[in-house]
Amino acid sequence: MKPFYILFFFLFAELSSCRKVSTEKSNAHSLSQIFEDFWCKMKNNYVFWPYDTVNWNSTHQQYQALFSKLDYTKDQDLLIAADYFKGMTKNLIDGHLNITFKHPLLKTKSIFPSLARKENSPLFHAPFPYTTIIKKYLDTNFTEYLDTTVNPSQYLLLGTIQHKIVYFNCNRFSLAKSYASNFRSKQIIESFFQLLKSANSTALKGVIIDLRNNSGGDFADLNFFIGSFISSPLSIGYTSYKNGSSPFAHTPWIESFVQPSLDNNIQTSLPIIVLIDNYTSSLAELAAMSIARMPNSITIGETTWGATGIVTSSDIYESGSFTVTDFLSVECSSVAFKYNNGKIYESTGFPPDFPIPFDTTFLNKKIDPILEKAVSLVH
Amino acid sequence: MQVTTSQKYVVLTLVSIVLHTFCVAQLSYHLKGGGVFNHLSTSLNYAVRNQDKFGLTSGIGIKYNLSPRFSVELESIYIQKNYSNYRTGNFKGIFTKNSNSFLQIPISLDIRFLETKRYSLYFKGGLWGEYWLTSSIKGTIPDIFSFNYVPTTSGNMLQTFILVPYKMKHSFNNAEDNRFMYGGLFGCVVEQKMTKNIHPFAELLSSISFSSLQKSLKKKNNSLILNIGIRLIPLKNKK
Repeated sequence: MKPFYILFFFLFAELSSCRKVSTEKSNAHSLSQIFEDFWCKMKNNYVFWPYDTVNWNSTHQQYQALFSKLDYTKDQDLLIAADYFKGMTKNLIDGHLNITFKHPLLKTKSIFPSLARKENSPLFHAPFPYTTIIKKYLDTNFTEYLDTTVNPSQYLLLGTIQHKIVYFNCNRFSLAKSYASNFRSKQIIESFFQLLKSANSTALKGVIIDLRNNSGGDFADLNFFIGSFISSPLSIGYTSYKNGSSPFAHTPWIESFVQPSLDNNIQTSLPIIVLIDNYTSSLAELAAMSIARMPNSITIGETTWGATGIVTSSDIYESGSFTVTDFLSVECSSVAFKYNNGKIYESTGFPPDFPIPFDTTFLNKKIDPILEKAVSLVH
Repeated sequence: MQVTTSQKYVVLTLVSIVLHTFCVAQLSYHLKGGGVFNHLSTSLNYAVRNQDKFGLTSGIGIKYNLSPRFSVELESIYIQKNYSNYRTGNFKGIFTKNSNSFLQIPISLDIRFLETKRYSLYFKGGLWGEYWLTSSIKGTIPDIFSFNYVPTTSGNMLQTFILVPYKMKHSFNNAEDNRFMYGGLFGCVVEQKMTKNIHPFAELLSSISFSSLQKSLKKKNNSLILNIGIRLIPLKNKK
């Protein structure tokens, strides 16, 4: 009978090693535990560890003792904790990284490291509302529309300049959604495509796509909008995804393509000029970078924000945004992006072909130097 | 082919060791190989399922008889400990398969608890140390640039995507990866006395890792190993 005891022993050993995985729990009433939970989730979910200079293990050593001295029940300590979270994350390169607090006392204390870094730069400026100045340049028959049926609302402006240049501006990308759900938006988008399709038979000399102040939006717009300008897949760069629990576990760089749009196909030979500024961010940066890959394109303006990583639902890639109990929530990239030239523009931003610094002296006189440069290049 | 003096010394030393051990009664040698069924034990609670994977193992060893019942064994083993994880539901098709190889040095105590004219049965228990030699990963991942929403007949939007295959060698990171690991093993061995100096054997072992693959996370390989081998016993053993 002895051998049967031994086999039973093996089976027991194997089964005992297949125990259910434990779930991470955090105690909402201990700032120390909230810190540990935040630190671990950042370590697991943040996609830029292989490219970031921040040593997250050292950050743990530095802040563990500080958090251990804080008391969750004291308001002053909660405010100090918010400052510690700010200090921990201030140098992380992810341009999307944004921490918001759910605790009522800290609701106004959001942390946006890339904005904080930009605010310290001598070139920093607040977003400028170009629209009123732009309308001055447009021919009188321009159309504009604020689509409030999409969230956040989307502003569209379409017109021509001197009847020779098509001008299109959107403040964010919800074009595909808006096109499908809103008749007025669809009309404007279709008019834009129609203008370009008829370009060969008209006197049109170029097209300006204004992505200044465009904060990005739906990823589907890349194929819907940029895909309209191409007839075959356009290689724009590479994406890398997390493929394991280690902070450095990433897939190799996988080539990324914008696919031709099935709905619209323009294939224009007109020069496409993209206007960008410091507030062109996220998908708007990818859109500008995609157009920059086309042979007939020019980018003009300021270097973009530097949030080229891709944010999507964290359940797809087991990376990116997360929450820490009912205390805070973190928005960050789920996928890292590298441009076709091998450079990662996260945090630094994508530079234009023709850099034009922000200058209030012109703008106060209702002159838009970036737009004027675009117009001059078409002529 | 030029043979250097140091190479001559190495060959002579090895020959001397073999000749010496053939003259010493308590020593025997073995070669073995087999299959490994590996299970990854992890503390992560991701929406992934771990799947046990099969691997191969082979090795050589030396056994020293302390007494008719007890003996110690020292081995040098190449062992693969593979595992994969995969997603279910909406993300069915996404998987990673990790193939890992190790150089393992187990030291074990064999206790013979049953002996017949033709067979011996041993209990084997011991400890091992191992070095993580290589690691490669292959899998599929949804291409974020392929994401699309397609309306269904019920009016809902269905998310579609294209899976991209990839293959990569894992680059070890000293801050994260534990390349030196240790653990324990136990199991039983059945040995057939085929001739006086050739004993084929089969063994079933359970191997449990005490250390994690990663320094900051619990990721341990626990394996069930089935080996067959052949033990070579110098003639003087059979007095």
